[in-house]
Order: sequence, then C-alpha cells, then structure tokens
Amino acid sequence: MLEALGIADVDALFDDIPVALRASRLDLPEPQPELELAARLEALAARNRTDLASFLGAGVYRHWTPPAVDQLLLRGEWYTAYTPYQPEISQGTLQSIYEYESLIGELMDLDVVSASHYDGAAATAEAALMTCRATRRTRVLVSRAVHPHYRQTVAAYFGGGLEVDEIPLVADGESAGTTDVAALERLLADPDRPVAGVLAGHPNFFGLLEPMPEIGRLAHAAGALFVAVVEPVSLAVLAPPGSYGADIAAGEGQPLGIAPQYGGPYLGLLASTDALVRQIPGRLVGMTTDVDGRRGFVMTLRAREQDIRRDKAASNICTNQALLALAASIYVATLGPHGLRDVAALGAARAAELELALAAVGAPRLYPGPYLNEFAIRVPGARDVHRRLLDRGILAGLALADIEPDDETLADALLVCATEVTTSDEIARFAAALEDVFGGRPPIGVEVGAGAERSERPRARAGSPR
Amino acid sequence: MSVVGERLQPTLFERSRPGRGGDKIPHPPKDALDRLPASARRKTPPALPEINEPEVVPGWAPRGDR
Repeated sequence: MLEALGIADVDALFDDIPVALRASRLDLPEPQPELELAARLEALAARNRTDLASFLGAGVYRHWTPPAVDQLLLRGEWYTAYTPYQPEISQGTLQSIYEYESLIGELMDLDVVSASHYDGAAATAEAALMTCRATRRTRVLVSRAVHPHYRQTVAAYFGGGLEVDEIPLVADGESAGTTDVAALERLLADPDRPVAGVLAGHPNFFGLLEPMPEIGRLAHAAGALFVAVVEPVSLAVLAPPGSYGADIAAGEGQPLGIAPQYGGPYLGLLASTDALVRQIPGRLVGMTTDVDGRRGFVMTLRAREQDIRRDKAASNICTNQALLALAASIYVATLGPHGLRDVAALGAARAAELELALAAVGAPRLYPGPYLNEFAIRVPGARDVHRRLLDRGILAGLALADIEPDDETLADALLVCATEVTTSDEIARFAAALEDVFGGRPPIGVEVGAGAERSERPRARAGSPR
Repeated sequence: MSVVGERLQPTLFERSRPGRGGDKIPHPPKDALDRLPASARRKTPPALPEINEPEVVPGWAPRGDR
C-alpha cells in the first residue's frame, strides 16, 4: 500500500502535522500479563470508597437498576458504539435504537430523538449549535443555573464567530437561584445582537424548578428557539419539554439504568420538534417496509450526516453510545411508566425527609423555591465540613465552592440529593454527623426550619468547622 | 432478497398491555409530590410500554445477532 501511495514509510502520512505538535515517544510502562494486570486493576478498584452514605448528585444520580439491564448488556452482539450502515444484517440493533428513540420521545413529549451523544454536556452543546443553524443567528443565552460543566462545553463548542452570553440568576426572594427572567428579557431585547437560542435547566443545577413556560415564551417572542436541559427520571412526574414549548431538549441519560462512573461513559439525550428534524445531529432510525411489504428498520434522513455532506453536515460527531442507549431502553421498559414515576416520587419523598433532618441540625436550604430531589443547603465552612463528614462515612454531596469558586454566594453551601436508594438510616446518620461536626449545636445565626440569615460561626467552639 | 420481516419481534410498544410491569421498588407515600406546584407536574403519564419482566427480557436476548 505504501508503494501504491508513493511514500517510503508510514511516517510520511504525518508530514502535514508540524513536528512540534507531534507526540514524542510514548512513556508507557512495559506490557504486563493479563493476570497481573487484572490484580493491579482490582487493587486500584479496592481504593474506591463504597462504604459511604452518598448524597452526591450534581448531574449524576444513584438509582436501583433491575439486574436484567446489566445481564442483557453482557451479550457481545450489542458491543458497538456505532450505528450499523448495513440494515440487511443489522435489524436487531436498528430496532433497539428505534425503540430507544421512541421511549425517549415519549418521556420528552417531542417528535424526534437522535440515536445518542457522548453525554449530557455534549448533547446540550449540540442543541445550542442547532439553534444557530436553524435561525441563522450566532448568539445563544445560557442560564447560569445550567450545569457548570455543560456551560463550559457549550463555550468550547462555540468558537469561530458564535457567541455565548450567560443569563444571571435571581439573587434573593422566593425565586432565588433560578433564572432571572427580567434579565433574560433585557438580553433578548438587543436589536443588534439577535439571539438564536435560550438554554435553561429543569430542574436546574441547584435542583430548583425553573419557570420554563415563561422562559420559552420570552425566547419565542424574540424569534429564538428554546432549549430545555432536563433530567430524564424527573420527566415521569414533571411537565415534559414538549408541553411547555421547548423546541429542543437535551440531557444526561445516566439516571436511566447506568451506574455512576468517574468520567463516564455516559449517554447524551437529544430531542427536538419535527420542524427541526433536518437540524438534529446524530443518527435517526426509522421503521419502514421492504420490497415485499414487510417491516424493517433503517437509518433515515442521512443527508444530514457527515459521511454524506461533509462540512455542511448537521454534526461531525455522530458516534453514538449504543450500548448505553440500550441500557436506558431496558431500564425504562422494565420499570414502565408507573415504576419510573415511583422512582421519581420516592426520591422526592426521601429528599423532603433529608431537608427536614438537615434543617433540624442547623443546615437549612439555601434557596426557598420548589425542588424535586436535590437542593442546596447553607453550611458555614462548607468545604471543611464536607471533608470532615467524609471522615465520618458521609459523602455530603458537593461543596458548591469546588465547582463555582468565583461565586461568593456559594462559598458556604453544599448541594445534596436523595433518590429511591437513599434510606432513612443514611439520612439520620448524615444529620447526626453534621450535628457532631457543628459541635452539638446549630451554628449561631441559623434559625432552624425558617429562612435563615447568613450565619457566622464562633471561632472558639470545640468542633467548629473553621 | 428479503432478510427482514418474520424474524423481527413486535416493538416494545406493540407488546405493551395496560397494568403490566411495575412493582420493582417500594411505592412512594401518596403525598410525595404534593409540595410541587401543580403547574410543574406532568398532566398525563408518559405513554411508555407496560410489560412484565419475563416478557421484556427475551426480546433483547436473541435480537443482537439478527
């Protein structure tokens, strides 16, 4: 082949890459026998803390997964990240993707669902790009209460003349922590900088419910598209994106039967109205009939894709997370509509129990608005308290200062969540450990059970987190 | 040549029968969602298939090799 190409060696293929950018010799350890490697991986895995009572969510959620999900995923026939190009030998895989798209479409109440994307952040960035293609505008507005990692991913995708502006949050009052709709209205009113799309999370990063119908109405009045960034289990009980006028919905599919994993792999959900079907990136699988009138499944509307249209394609990333999309399908089908509702509602009930228990020991909610199963609490010295709770076997959610270090309003706050797997015993242990860390009494300035003032901890008290 | 048709199974939605499935996790308290504003609640459940696990699992087991 080198002879046919007219080159002397493989290295000549990389001549176009400047020498300074090429990888030097890879500094890898020597190969190991599989037996030894497996032992090493097991030793590394043993360092994971699986003994903790976890209240961590922040975009990835623990749920009980029916054993059938992981059992079926072990079948080697499903082991591909790719959608099959040859329908005549791939009907089973294509049917599974068609069913996945149909299930997610029902949850979202939207017409079209892609065959999946890398994760919720990538799907959200693709949604933002869709709004620019569809409106031929170049600016999107993203609520500051969309997951910080998703906002960073949108910003990373938006080079080359596309702009991202953030919508601030309401600072205080009943709507604190949600998207500031008055600020949104002002951002949309600039006639010189028309907006392609408005992105808001629901529930938002702080677990709060957003005024989605109002945000959508304002976006549409300005000729922009409305993107809802959603959590799929919540859609069993919360109004779905299609019902409040979202043109596009994106989200992380991990809660649908996929175990929390550091760094993934995860599942990007992306759905849209029929009007945007030619703008949605990724594979679409449809049901059709063959020449004999019998049912079959095929990839459809392929002219959107990069192997057909190159630089004019709706996306140049169409690798899908087929195995994880299959996990989501099996999970949803095994639980059914009532089971999924039970998961969401039981998580909400556990979260309410958690809120009461934490408020009783001096850690009230940071924001007062309605939430489903995740909320921020006010904890003076949150990062230190988080570390000390870890020593007591409690993973106390996320210290918000770790993810938003520049936001002073989040310096003394933890983001905690509960799901159906959270037990009353774990909640009681969390509250007791927090009380212990607080030194047996709530921090001064905190009124238990009421909207609390910002508290100051006395430096001299034993067990003070500072 | 026709290689599709007979070997395909009905879709999940076609196999759905009202009232099947569920009972995988404990039922939540009846008032679990009462603190959510009515306007934020889903009005009608998603039209997801209702299938018992023994019926749903075999659907995927042999399908991957087709």
